[in-house]
Amino acid sequence: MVSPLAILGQLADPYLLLVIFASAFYGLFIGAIPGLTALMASALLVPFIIFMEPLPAIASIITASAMAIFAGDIPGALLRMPGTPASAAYTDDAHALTRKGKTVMALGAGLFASAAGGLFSAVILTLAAPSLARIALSFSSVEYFWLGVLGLSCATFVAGPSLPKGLASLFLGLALATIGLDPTSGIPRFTFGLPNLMGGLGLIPVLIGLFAISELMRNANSEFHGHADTHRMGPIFSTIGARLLPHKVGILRGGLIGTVVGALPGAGSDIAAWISYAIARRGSRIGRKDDDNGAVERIMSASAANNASLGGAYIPATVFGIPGDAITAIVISVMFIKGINPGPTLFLNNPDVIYTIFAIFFIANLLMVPLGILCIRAFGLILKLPTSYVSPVILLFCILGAFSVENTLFAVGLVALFGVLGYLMEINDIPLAPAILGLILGPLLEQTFMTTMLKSQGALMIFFDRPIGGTIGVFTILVWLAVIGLKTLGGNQARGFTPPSPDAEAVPERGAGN
Amino acid sequence: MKVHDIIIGMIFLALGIGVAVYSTTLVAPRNLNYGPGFFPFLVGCGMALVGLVIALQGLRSIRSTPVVVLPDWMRSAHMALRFWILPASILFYVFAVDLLGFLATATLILTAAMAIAGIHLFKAFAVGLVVAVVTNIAFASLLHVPLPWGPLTSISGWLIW
Repeated sequence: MVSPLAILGQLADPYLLLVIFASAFYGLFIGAIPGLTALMASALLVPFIIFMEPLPAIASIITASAMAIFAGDIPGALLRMPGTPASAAYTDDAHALTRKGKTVMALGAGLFASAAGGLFSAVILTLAAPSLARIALSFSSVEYFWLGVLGLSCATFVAGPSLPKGLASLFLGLALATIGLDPTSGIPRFTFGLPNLMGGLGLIPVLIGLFAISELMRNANSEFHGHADTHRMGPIFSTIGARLLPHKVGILRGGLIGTVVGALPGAGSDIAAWISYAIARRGSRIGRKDDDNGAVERIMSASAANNASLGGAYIPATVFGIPGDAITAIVISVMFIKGINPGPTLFLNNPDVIYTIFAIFFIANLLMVPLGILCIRAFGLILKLPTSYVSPVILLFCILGAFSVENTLFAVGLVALFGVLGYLMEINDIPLAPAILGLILGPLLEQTFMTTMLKSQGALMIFFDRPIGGTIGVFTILVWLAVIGLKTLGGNQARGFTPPSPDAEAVPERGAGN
Repeated sequence: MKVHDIIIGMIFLALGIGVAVYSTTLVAPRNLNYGPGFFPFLVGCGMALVGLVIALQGLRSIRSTPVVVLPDWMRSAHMALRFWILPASILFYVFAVDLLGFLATATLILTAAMAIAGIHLFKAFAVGLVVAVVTNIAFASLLHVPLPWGPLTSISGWLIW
């Protein structure tokens, strides 16, 4: 255990605090613009943070993504246009409150529940991660193999209504991951003589292409001409303060659901919000009602869940080095570039770094309340900046992001290629999240699989010999059998997780794109 | 462009077979039982299999869904331009930046994208130039990203701080 003073000493760095503040404003701004997601906010930060010390770099992503997820509520409530897919679940409820003149109630509920959900997940992260890391120290290639398989399976199951399409996306990602030098023998594969492909595909260019460019292409012809009246709003603190207590169960439930869903690889904040919303709608006494109180309960549950999922995703990321979503995938690759190797040994070798990262979660979520109120008041100004100016600048930063990480023009070309690919996949209902997780986890999966196979000379029983590894393995296989059984028996009724979609506008962009 | 599931299935089937066949050409070093082609072979087989499943599932809706649904941006040339300017300007950057330098390339890309989005050409150029100068100073001069200087290469020593 490290002394709290050491952590406070790390946090007292004025540069770090400046980065946190700047990232907070930036995250709120990106999240409040409809169509720009928290993932996009994190990906566009890469060219800047690549030049920072490790702590400010990670703090920047943590703060910006948390703020962006909350800020997505604002256009959702005021314009019925969710700013990020994570806010889509409760956009209708929030907008209905706005139409009754209760904007403060809708946005205040979202703001305080977001902060509470984020804090809740930070507490769980701080408590659970160190003990999980102690267990993970004894893991061998078998355990990591099964963790990888379990993570990829979860990512595929929750990715969309069609299991084969999710799997197709996953295999595409795994195939892309094999490009480059083979980890066991060093023989080049799928490089077609191109020296640029020897080191494999860089994660950041592929991610920027698949998520950011494809998003720009999808929105290329849509413009938002919204007008939001933010002047006639009452005080947020006093309106919502008294309402927090009756809804504490909803917030806690949302926080718990969000943390657990976030910890599953592939399931991001949008799915956490949909699940929490559905449970509040059907399962809770207050949330079932159609009055204002019910709407607030549903908004609070779902809003707590989407922010909690961000913290949850850092549990597998820091403990095993396995990302929970695409945002933590960026964090992990930044950590590697900065010489911090995520995984159980991080808790032994750099405990003060990891606890400072956890502390930043608390700071970011506490900062969300005052800055969030500021952002709600200033939303009218953000709307004045038309997308015709914003998208070209984002495009330029996508190019710069890919170039500053890889320092090759080849990487910039990859952005264009994967932008078109991501666009084609999305409109053909092939989810992107399994592909990106396949690309990230592919090397880990292959390396642990090959090591285990070579160790055992091909005897497959070795995958079930060790107590923890065997248990995860059997569990993974059981989950697979259950999902396939449900799909074949239940037909349409049990098609995995399909969120209710009352209108096309509110359909979440499923997967890691949050 | 949305195409029918049968076509999507076929694409993945073909891609999977391609990956699997290529993997068999990767020979294992003599001392290893499982060579570099083993894992990609399994991945290729898996991809081909799910491609087949997608195509077979698509057979059920062969009459009810159209084979190809044209995207929205096909409705007008201007919308198509706004769509294709995005990947096209990235490719333009890749091929032009070494010759023209970052400053000029970025200005051109920003001006073109903004003008096509409906902003007056002069205004688009002004905003594009300002953004390009600011990013060039931030990334090349201050953060030392090796952005190409193009015609300015000979004096770039004074411009990097």
